[in-house]
Amino acid sequence: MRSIIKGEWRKLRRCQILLVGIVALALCPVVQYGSQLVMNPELRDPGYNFVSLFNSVIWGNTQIFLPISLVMIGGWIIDRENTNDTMKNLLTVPVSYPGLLGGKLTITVILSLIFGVYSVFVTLLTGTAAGLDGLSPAVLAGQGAQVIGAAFNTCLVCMPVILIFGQMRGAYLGGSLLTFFLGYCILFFKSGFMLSAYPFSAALVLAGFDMQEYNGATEATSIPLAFLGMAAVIALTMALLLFSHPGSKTGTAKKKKKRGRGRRYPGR
Amino acid sequence: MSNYIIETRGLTKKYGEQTSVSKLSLHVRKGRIYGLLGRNGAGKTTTMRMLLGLTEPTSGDVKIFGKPLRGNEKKILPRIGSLIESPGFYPNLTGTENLRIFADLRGLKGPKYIKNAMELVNLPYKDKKLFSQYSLGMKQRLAIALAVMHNPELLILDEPINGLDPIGIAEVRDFIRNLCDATGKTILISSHILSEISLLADDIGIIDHGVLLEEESLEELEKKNGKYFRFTVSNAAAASGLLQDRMGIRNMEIDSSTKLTVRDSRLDAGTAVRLFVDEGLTVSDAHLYEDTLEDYFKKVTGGEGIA
Repeated sequence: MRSIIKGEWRKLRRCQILLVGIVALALCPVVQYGSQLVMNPELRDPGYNFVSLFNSVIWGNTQIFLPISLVMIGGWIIDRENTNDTMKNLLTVPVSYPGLLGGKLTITVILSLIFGVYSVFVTLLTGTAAGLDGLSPAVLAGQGAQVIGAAFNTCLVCMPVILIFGQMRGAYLGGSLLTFFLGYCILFFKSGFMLSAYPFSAALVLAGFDMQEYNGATEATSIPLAFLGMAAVIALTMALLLFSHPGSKTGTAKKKKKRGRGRRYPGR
Repeated sequence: MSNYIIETRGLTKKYGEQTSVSKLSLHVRKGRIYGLLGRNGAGKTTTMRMLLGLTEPTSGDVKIFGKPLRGNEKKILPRIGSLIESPGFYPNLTGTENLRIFADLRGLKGPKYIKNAMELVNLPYKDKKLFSQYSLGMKQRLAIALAVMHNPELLILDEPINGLDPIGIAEVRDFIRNLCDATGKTILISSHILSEISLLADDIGIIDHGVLLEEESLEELEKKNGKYFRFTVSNAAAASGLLQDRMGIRNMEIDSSTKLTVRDSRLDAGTAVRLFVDEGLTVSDAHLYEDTLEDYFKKVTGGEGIA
C-alpha cells in the first residue's frame, strides 16, 4: 500500500488539475469577505473580524469549494488510469484494484489536508489585507484546526462520489457538479435528524463548527448523530471499495476521435 | 510437468453475440519465441489480454508456468513482462519518472533497474523530456523497457514494433532475439507483419477470426511450404505429355500455351530440360519457386495476404 500511495503522489507532479483546488480555496475567503462588503450596510456584521472570516471560510469550503475541487481532483486521479491507458500496466504488476482505489483516496485525503493548511494561509492573508482585527495565536490555532478538520471531514464525505464518478469514464466533472448540489443542501437542514446526520453537516459538526450561530440552526447539533452520518458514508465507501473491480475493457483506452475545425464532407 | 510455459485449452471470449476468440489451444515452449500471426482484428490482443488476466475468458483455461492463471495471479504475473496494445504512461512525467512508479510497485530497489532497462532500449536515463513529448517510437521503447525492467522469465509483447522506424525495428528484433538466446527467456510476440514473425519466431501460431488455424515450428512450416518448377517452353502441352509419358510426372498444370508448372517433388529439372530439347522443344526459362510464409498464410486462412 505504501508503494501505491508513493506512486500516486509522484503521479501528481506537474498536474494542472491541482490548480482547481488552489484557485477555488484562494477564492473562498475573498468571496466570503466580498459578500460582507456588498451587503446592505444595515445587514452587515459590525463586529466582522478574523473569527467571522474563518467561520465563513469553513462554511464556504465545506458547502461549495472543497466538494467541487476534491471530487474533480479525486475523480480525475482515478479516471486518468483509463484515459492514459495505464491501468493494464498496474493490473499486470499485479496491483489489486481496490488497493489502487484505496491509494487514490488516501492521496485525495492528504490533498484535502494540504488544501486545509493552504486555506488557513489564504484566509490569514485575506483578513490581513482587509485589515480585520481579532487575530491572536489562540484564534489562529483554534480556527485553523477547524478549517483543516472540516477539510478532512469534507473529503471523507466526498469519497463515495469520487469512487463512483471516478470509475465512470470522463464523468468526474458530473460528479463534481452533483457534489456541489449535495453540499449546497446543508442550507436546507436546520433542525432534526438531518441537521447533524446529513454528511456535509456532520463534517462541520465533527470539526466543532457552531451550526446554530452560522447556519441559523434552530436546535443544538448532536455529535452521536454526526458520527452516525459520517459512519454511514465511510461504510458506503468501504463497500464501494470492496466490490469495485476493473471493467471488462479495462486497459483499453477508447480515444475520442478529434474533430478538426474544417468543414466535413460526408462520404470523404 | 508440462514442457509448456503457456498452455491454453479451449480459450474462448465472446462479446455479446460476437466471438472474438474461439476454443484457442495455444502451446508456448520454454526458451522459444512464439509468434502469433494474424490480421488486424484476428483476436491476437484479446488472447494476450486473457493470458494476463486483463480480460476474463468466457470459457476455457489458461495455464502459465504449469499453474492455472486464475487464483495464482500474484505468483504468476510478477514473472511476466508485457506490452499490450499502445504504450500507456503518464504524460506529465518523464520516462524515468514513469518507470520509477512501476519499479516501486514491483519492489525493485535502487535506480539500476530503471537505468539498465532504459539503456537496453536506447533511451536516455533521467532525461527531462516528458512522455507527452515522446515520439511514437520512443513511447514504444519505453513500453519495452517497462516490460523487461524486472527481468521476467516470460515476455508477452503485442505488436512491439508498431511505430518504430526500420532501424528501430531491426534493433528491437535483435534485442528480442538476444533476450531469448542469451537469457533463455520465453517470448510470445504477436504481429500482423509476416516478415517480422518469420525473421524472429521459432514457433508460429496462425490465428484468423479468433481461431488458431495452425501451430508449428518455423522449421516445420518451411518444410511444408511448397516448391515447384515453372518452365517456359515453345509448346507447354507437348512438354506436359513428355513429362507424363517419359518421366511419370503427374502433378502439373498448363498455365498457358507456353507455361507449365510442375509440382511433383520427384522432378529432376536437368533431365526434364534435356528431354524437352531432345524432342525439339525450345526451353526459354526453367525456374524453381518456393512458397513464402505469406503464401502459406494465404493457403491456411483461405484468403488474402497479410502485410
